[in-house]
Amino acid sequence: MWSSASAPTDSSFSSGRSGTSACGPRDRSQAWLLVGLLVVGLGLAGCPLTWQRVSVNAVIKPEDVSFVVPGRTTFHDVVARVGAPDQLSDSDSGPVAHYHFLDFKRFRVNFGYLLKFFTPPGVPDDIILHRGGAGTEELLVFFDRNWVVRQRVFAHNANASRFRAWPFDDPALSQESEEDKAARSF
Amino acid sequence: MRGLLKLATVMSLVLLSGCAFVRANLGDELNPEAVEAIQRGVSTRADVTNRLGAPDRIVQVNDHEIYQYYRYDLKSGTILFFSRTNIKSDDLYIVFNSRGIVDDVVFGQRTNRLKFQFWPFGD
Repeated sequence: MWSSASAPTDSSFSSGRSGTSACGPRDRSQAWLLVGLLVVGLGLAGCPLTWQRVSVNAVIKPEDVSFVVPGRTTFHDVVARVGAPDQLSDSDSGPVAHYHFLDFKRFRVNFGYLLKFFTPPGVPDDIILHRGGAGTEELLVFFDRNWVVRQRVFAHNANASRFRAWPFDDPALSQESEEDKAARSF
Repeated sequence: MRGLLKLATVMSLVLLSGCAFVRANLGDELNPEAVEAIQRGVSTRADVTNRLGAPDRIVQVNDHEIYQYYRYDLKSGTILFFSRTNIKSDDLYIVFNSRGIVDDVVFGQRTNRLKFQFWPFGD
């Protein structure tokens, strides 16, 4: 529609103005194009979809610390390969190096978005599904009093960090209800 | 020509209207030269604090006093409905022996690999 409207049909249009009118067909088509772009821009500015992610430090995978041999690898070996820890603490058997990393993902959709164009100002028009999850992870490296690795352990919460819109499902509750069903069947 | 200019201006404004780049940091940058100037077996607690200021945290680990300095840097990018925020830290540990002399220096710099990204998927 725009292409046919914007095609010049008269040589006078090449100057952008017709000889008889202050607002010729080409001006009108450009105006409509501008209005269209503004509508699209305003629409996208408050768009109904959001994918957001927050990452704190790089994820350390088990293969990144596969070089660690308890009883042999030292603190300096670990620092040289993995970097300085985020925290050092003490335990009864020796120092502990903490490596923290986090991956947070959230997804939001507003199904009431289109209602904005029809509802009067002040009337609520949001129908939002929104879910986020933070997969906080930690690598703990336990050392003996001579700063030699005794053990390394990962805390795994990566499944908490996924893009999901549906906020109502709860695996723990559904598992419980299945157990209840099983109990009832006896 | 003026029409094209208007169009380009509006297009730019439309594309930039859903755009944001954010930068934030916690703490001053740890100066690598100041860190290198700290000498094992020579520098004292006073030398360290004169160069680097008061530590952010003091911990007692394995009968050693350790000064920890840290800094966080944040880069965030948003384009339309995609947003990604990356945060990384630099950590400096200075280990003192029982006489208050530097026994060890451990410096980990992650912020030099911090990137502006907006695409939230993938690694």
